Amino acid sequence: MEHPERAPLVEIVPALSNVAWAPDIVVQSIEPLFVYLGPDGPRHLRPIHAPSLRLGMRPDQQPGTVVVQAAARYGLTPLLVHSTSWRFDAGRVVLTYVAAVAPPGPEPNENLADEPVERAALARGDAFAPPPTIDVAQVVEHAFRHLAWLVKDDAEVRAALPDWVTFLSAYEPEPFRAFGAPPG
Amino acid sequence: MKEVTCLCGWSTRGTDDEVVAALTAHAWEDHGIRKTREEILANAIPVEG
Repeated sequence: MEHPERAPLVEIVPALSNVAWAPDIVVQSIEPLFVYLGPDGPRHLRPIHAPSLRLGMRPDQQPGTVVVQAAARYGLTPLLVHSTSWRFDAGRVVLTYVAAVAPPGPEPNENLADEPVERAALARGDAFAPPPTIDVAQVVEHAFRHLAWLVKDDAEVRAALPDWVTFLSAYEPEPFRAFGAPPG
Repeated sequence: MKEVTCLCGWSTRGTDDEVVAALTAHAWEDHGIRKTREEILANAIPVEG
């Protein structure tokens, strides 16, 4: 019988991953969703030749900075950028950032299509797997539901998006709508 | 492997030669502009194959 004091303190187990870390290899994409609040509701500024924009990110970059810089390339003024979801797609992790921007000027960037945001059913997976397919409209829906929670929970977000609070209340989960805003 | 993404959202991935060929065609056919090999590769990022 082994004495308790001789029992190993740490059990050696096989490595969790067998993939070498490579700092110069990009395996992730940033997906900025440029959205703004128009007079008739939310609108998505989609790249004209893709459902959404996918940006590579170097290891020395901050993802939020990549999104802000991308917005500037399109002449957009960001009000708030916030990561709202991620998914695995085409061999890479896609990190989605919702970028709430000010309404574009009278001459919007020619590379962006200005489209209304329609409500969409969320993509659902099972307990151990993601949804088999995820449409960008579902990613936007998820992002707005995320913002609906943040504008109530995070004073910084509320301050950045004061005009969005009423519209985002429609994206709150129904069981929570009756409780109203938190005190204070 | 390299990848390059256009402002319009179009993206391509491949060897240097493949990326240059694909983007040269895209830039001309979809935007009516010409890009040099140097301009294209300057904006390409390395990706896993």
